[in-house]
Amino acid sequence: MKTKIRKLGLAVLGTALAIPAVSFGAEQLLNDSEWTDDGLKALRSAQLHRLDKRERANNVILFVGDGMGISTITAARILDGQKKNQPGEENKLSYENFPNLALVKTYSVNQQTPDSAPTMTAIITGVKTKDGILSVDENVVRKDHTTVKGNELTTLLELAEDHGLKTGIVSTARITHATPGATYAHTPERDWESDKELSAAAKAADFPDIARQLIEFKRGDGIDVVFGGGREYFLPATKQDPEDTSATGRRTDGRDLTAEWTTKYPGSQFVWNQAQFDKLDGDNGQHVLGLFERSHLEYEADRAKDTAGEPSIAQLTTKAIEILSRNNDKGFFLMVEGGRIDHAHHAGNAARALEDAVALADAVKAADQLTDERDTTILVTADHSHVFTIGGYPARGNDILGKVITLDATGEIEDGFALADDKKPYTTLAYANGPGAIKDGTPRPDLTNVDTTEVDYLQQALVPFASETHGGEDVALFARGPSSQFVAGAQEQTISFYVMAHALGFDGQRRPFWSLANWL
Amino acid sequence: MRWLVVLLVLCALPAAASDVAAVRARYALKRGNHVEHLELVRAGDRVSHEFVERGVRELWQRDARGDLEHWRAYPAQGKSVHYAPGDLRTINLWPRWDALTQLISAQELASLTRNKKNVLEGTLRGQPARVEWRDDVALPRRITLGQLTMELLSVEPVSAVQSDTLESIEFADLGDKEYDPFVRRFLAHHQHEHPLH
Repeated sequence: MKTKIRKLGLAVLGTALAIPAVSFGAEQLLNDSEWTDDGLKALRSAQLHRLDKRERANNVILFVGDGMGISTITAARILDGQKKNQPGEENKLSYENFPNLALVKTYSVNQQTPDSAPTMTAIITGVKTKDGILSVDENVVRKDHTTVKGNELTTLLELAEDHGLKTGIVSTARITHATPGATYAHTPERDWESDKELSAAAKAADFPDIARQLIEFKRGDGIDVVFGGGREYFLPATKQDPEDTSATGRRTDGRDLTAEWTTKYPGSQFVWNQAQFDKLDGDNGQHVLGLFERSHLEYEADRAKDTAGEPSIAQLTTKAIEILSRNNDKGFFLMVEGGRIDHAHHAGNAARALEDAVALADAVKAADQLTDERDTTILVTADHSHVFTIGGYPARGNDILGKVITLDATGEIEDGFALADDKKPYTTLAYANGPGAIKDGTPRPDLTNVDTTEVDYLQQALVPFASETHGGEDVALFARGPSSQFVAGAQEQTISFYVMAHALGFDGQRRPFWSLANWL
Repeated sequence: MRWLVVLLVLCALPAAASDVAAVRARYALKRGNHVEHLELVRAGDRVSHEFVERGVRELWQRDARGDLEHWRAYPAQGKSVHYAPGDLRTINLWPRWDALTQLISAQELASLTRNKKNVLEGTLRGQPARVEWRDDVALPRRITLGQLTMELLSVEPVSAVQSDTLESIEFADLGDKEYDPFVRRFLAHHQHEHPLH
């Protein structure tokens, strides 16, 4: 892009905005460039949003990309743009248009690099805790059910129910998995998803597994919308699965928790396939439990192959908002997790991780369009990162999943692939550890004739692990809507809870969004 | 014991019909002085391979659309690892059904030269190969592949492939369970089996 120097009177900018403009002086020389136009627009937008002092929301929607570190967001942004036939780098995922952003420190009480249990506990309760435990404090001993009583942490979803709001949980993982589980369950072991996984002592003491805690949830009038996977954790081992008829449920206590759900909530529904999902609306969707897979939902890249059909995360989010909004003057809280980004990263498979990250951005876009930013706060964050990197010196627009093609000394694109010191091509995306690592003295594979853009390709890695690991660096927190102005700076991961609680007035008097107080 | 895996995953070939006889077949696998035993059980859309000495049972299941599911069961440890179709695709583990149920696929058989009735010879995976085939049960009586031989010891009819009742862990969840001693051992073993690109 050719850049010139141009004169710009900033008074014009201030006049156009009808607000005090950022002052560089009476007259300033700015570069005559599209970048300048874009920069001034961004500045203008930031100025406008800075004036937004609203603090109280009727609704809060929390999006969590499991394992969606900043490098994942960047790569997903580029992939999304390239799928639109753009170079990709300049693209924006939906939530990258949100006005407020903070860095979030993800360490847990006892981990430098955490797992999803303490990080989601921090996000949803405002209290950091230890690895492997859900919405209980650090006094709890992992796997010891006797230490739970008295150490439970109240979650934002529970507070929402206490205040009469409608509530919902959406996940592409099992709904009993750590991230969704932390919104409603209090347990010393994230793996206790059904009674089959309980310790003998916990089982003998009738300590409730996570699926049971969802069904036996006692706050308010119960959770209104639950969409996710993990059907077998709700069905007894004696009962045939409705989709995979060769399989059965997992529970050893003989309980069919899906039936208990519909018994507990009159007029409620249990759905498990696309056709049933499509028939749901706000009128017939009271206390709906949708479990669309025996375990996790399909990766977005594989979703079209599912036997019974499976809604996308955007469809799940849209339906949840429609149901929660219908005939509701008290507001709602909804948590949506893109749960499979993490799984694909663990497998060292960047393509699937990025496809799921793009799908989550699409879900955020749907929520953004369905709600009003004057009354609905949306947060988008991750529980933790992964050791996923974007490197080399690929040229602008180089296929993000491809091998690096770089520039020559004059800035023109070189012919052929860039070569590493071993004279072999390399990909832009890689992992610091994982299954793509070489070992036992094996030379690094030559990628010259390998299609690294193929969805099943596993990126190369440095340290050999069968399962790639989480990363310990900060993650991003994007926000729009009331109280989102408090999302700024480098924060503890607990900040999400306090922003959401403040937006919903749980830290003081709850006021409707149109209250005059919102404008003070 | 990568050679066992190599032998069982000579699989980049088209699937065969699932109407082969439901049987339990026991094999001896020999490489030099080392002998192991493999028990194959197949019926309908399920097939299992039990590596007897290693205490590992691998179960495969195919649905009407041809999607595969896979369990690696470790009965002595009371646990199994389940691979959903998406997991198998993610790690590029998608063997052909006829290779799973017949140990060698129809296409591989067709690539060999039939020297006399039910004896085929040629080269497989760059190694000299000789296969004695039993049409009645659609299984090899004997395979010689380089230094490896695999010999059928017995075969009998069955009605079904049994499921296990072990605690099943999702492959996708392994990355979040590295504190678990079983998962640590599994991952260490799996690491050495994983194909590189």
